[in-house]
Amino acid sequence: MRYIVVAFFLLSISSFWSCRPEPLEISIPIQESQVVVFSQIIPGEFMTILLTKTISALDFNEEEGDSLNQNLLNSLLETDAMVTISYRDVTDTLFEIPSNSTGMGTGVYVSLQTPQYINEEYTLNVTTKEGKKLSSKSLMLPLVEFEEVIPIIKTTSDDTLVTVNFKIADLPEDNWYMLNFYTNGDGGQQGIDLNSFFNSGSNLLKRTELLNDISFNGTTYEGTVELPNVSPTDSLVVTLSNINETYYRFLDIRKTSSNFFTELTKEPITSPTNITGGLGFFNTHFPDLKFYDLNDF
Amino acid sequence: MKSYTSKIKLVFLFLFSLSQLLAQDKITISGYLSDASNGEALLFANISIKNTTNGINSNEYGFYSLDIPKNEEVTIVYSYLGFATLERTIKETESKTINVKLQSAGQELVEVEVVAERLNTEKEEIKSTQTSTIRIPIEQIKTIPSLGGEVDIIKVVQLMPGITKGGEGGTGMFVRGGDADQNLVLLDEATVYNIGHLFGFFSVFNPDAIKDLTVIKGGFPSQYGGRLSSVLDVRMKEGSNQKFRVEGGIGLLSSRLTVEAPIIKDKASFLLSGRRTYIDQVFKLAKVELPYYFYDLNAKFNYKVSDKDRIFLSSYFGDDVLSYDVQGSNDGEDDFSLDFGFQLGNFTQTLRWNHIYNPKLFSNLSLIHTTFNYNINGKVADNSVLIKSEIRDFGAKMDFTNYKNDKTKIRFGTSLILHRFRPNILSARGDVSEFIDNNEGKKLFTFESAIYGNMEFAATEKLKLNTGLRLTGAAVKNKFYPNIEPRISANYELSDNQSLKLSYSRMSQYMHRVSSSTIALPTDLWYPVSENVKPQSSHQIAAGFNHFFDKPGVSVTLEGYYKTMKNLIEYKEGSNLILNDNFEDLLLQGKGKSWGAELLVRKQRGKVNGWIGYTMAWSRRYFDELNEGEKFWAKYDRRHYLTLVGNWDISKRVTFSAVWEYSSGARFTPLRAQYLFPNAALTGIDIVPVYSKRNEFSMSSSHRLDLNFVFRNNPKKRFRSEWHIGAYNAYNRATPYTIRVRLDETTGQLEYTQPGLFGFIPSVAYNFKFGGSKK
Repeated sequence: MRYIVVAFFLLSISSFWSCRPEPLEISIPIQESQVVVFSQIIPGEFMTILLTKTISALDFNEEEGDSLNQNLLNSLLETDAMVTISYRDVTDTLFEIPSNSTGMGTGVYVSLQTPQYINEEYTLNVTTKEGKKLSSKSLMLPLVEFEEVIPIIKTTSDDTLVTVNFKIADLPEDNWYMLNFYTNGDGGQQGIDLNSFFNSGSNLLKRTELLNDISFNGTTYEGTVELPNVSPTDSLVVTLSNINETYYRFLDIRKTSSNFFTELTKEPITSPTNITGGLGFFNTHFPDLKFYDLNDF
Repeated sequence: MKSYTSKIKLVFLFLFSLSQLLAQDKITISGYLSDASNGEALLFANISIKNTTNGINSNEYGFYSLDIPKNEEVTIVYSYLGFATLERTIKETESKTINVKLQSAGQELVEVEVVAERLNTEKEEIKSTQTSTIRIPIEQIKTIPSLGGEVDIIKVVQLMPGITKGGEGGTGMFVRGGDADQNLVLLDEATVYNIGHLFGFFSVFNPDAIKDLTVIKGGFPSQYGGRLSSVLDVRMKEGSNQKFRVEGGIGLLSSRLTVEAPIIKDKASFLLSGRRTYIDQVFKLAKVELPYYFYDLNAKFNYKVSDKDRIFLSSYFGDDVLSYDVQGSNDGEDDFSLDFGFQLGNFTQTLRWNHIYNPKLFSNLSLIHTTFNYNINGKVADNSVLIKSEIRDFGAKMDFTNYKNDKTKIRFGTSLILHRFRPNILSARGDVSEFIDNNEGKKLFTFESAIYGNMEFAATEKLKLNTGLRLTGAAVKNKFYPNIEPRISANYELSDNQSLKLSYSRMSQYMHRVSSSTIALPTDLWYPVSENVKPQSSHQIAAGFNHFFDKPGVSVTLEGYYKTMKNLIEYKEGSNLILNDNFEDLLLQGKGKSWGAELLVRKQRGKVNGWIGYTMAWSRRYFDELNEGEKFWAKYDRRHYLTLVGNWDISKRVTFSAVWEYSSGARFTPLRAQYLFPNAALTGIDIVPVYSKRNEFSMSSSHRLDLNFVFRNNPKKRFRSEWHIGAYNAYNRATPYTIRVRLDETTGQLEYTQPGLFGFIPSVAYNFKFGGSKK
């Protein structure tokens, strides 16, 4: 009798899931591809702009087993565009770097002669080969350097923890800062490989800290960051960038949205952009970079 | 207490002496109306003078007060839905108390004055100034089919026009374009903060312990406040003061048992009602661990101290519990243990004292305590995390009703509530404490107060008005928020069977439910107004036409409404509120607007009864920091909602019930595209999703048919039983709850699909009762 009762209830409970109805179809118009801008400044050297395209939700889905293969990546490059940067009544046209292997465009546009004037507004204009127009304005933000960075290795009987103490002399105006901590860099060479942009190289980002100076405007900020996933034998690179507010919000949303509930519920999150007519960022900031071999500490 | 009572008596005797002098040619008949079988008070019953338009409703405790001509023979008609109407002819020279017991329409009629069941209740609704209000006697809904065969009053409320459900099977309610936290749910006047078990699939209300349910969507009387969109006033049974009575049921998911009995016949009684899921126990027999269960306990005691004083003590206690504990060894080397669980529950207590100062003045004093809390705990080896949140209310309400004369009723009172919040108490031990900061959970106190009054009177022979004012305020640290809330309702009688109604209400809300997700979770935080978080407020205007068709006994109500809302709460996109002690920074406040039309065609009597409800509605939101500052549709902005609910008493022993509902899809923000973007340190590439505009798309419309057969044994037997055999989603159609991108395995292409949660679910339940009457 006991087993009959159990079987009855198990059957009943399983009935909740046994007749799951067929999902309904829905037609949502395919979104037109948008151009995505990424920029980087190598201090005192050159300005680069990378143009890519969005991928439709129906063309790529990681959860369904899609991966970023080279063909897909190549198809995303926005090549043969007209890219200019304007400042002080001067307009520089950027040239596209060709691929080493094929000689085709890479979607990476470079200007070698654009001077980097602090607090100067730079205007980016892009016209794609299909005639789409994008624009963005960005202020060349002054470099803010660390006053001090001290890696500390705390050793207890159970564990060893790497922490970093740092000091920043904040500028008087409103500022937003990005600090990055990454390991195994190749001698502190930060930046992208222009010939293989999507190849992330050997650097491993361990932590990003975002600060806004509301609470310490114009004073020296002292902070401590724990890096539990950094080994005392690693090489550590610490960078500080004085970034604009929109990019700060973008990074903040990227950081906070990777929480458990958002992942679980697939909450929609809109990523900010400073590009009119497209996505991404036209950033004009410089990093201050410190390199440490933790074996020395 | 006696001297306090005497003082109040003196004050009110003075205040109302003038009106008494003016009414010397009339006397007052007052008393209580109750069910003859068990002594339960009959709420909102109709009491009228035959062949006149004079009439009144009993109040929420069954008390009535009616003026009749002095020394003149009149017939008073007492009627209540489902009960035989009783007529009593009297000729009195002075005011008199007449307590009346009505007999169920199904019982043999034993008193000579009793006549057949009549239609006064519906006609009284035509004459009432109350707009946008639906009363649902619990006995009328016990045969309505439901998910898993569990009778659920919230699911029935969701079938009424103007009330939109959230996700499929959930207890979330969105009334007239409002949000889920804008519904004041009262159980014997105590606020119930979490109305759902099992993540909202089942309501906390045990139908065997509930007597009556009133839903108010607009035209709010001034005694109600604190939420913008609706009041769900649930009243528990008092417990039979006539005979011992047992009622229970065994369902697929839970069983319940209710015992009620007189302690002193006609004077004191109690009710105890419990319900528990036993999925965990059944699985345990099969040696499978499913460590989840919920339970409810309702208890009520009432005592008639004297003809003028009654005391009620009621309580509800319910919990959801998950406790998962695994012990084992890792390759025979290190022992490990995993312990994860949560508990969340409501606890309410209400002590009420009814007092009749004189036949025209009735009062109720309520002392209320409510607690809602949840604990989430996780422990792996030596690491543990505990997250707790709690809200606790201590309240007192004093309410007076003065039945000034047969045309005028005045109601006034005051209420004080102290809310104590302790959100996000966080305790971490072990290595994990290096990443999670302990947080004691700052105590937040909010003192919410209100003074109110309203007067219902006949301005002309055909025009009745109910004008009210509610003055409210909330005191929090460094801030006091006062609000003036005028309320007005009007009824213009076109004929005996037709009326036009109009109402305006302003509402304020000092507590908000904040969530990390558009999906309402039981663990969402209730949070009070603060120096930075302002109270929500709304203006609502509603107008309606009511018609009652005598012949088939069908009432038709057509209403339109327009509502504006201010300081609505949303959270910044991507926020995590659970482990965040400073979530005020993550909250956004904006505006909302909703409008729509509702039709309710309802037949409450006869072998075939039920209703048709139709809603056409719009609901918009405006937040500066959401959707790039552009207006957007609310999540549950469903354009059309149609419900057909029918019960057919095929015989005394067989009833067939069916529900069919059609609903426009909820709004959704689908993933449209994605792009690749270097991470902050340029060491890798992130995939950044691109979504549509907020709530830009609607999911597909859905429709569903639920069926239920009830087979009863011989109703003359002392032990009465019934089998409920039913089916949810009889034709197994998906009700979409999300839009996902999935791979179509036949074409190899990605496509958008809309999965549903529940398909065809058969159910069977066995209910029984014995003792008491054969009602």
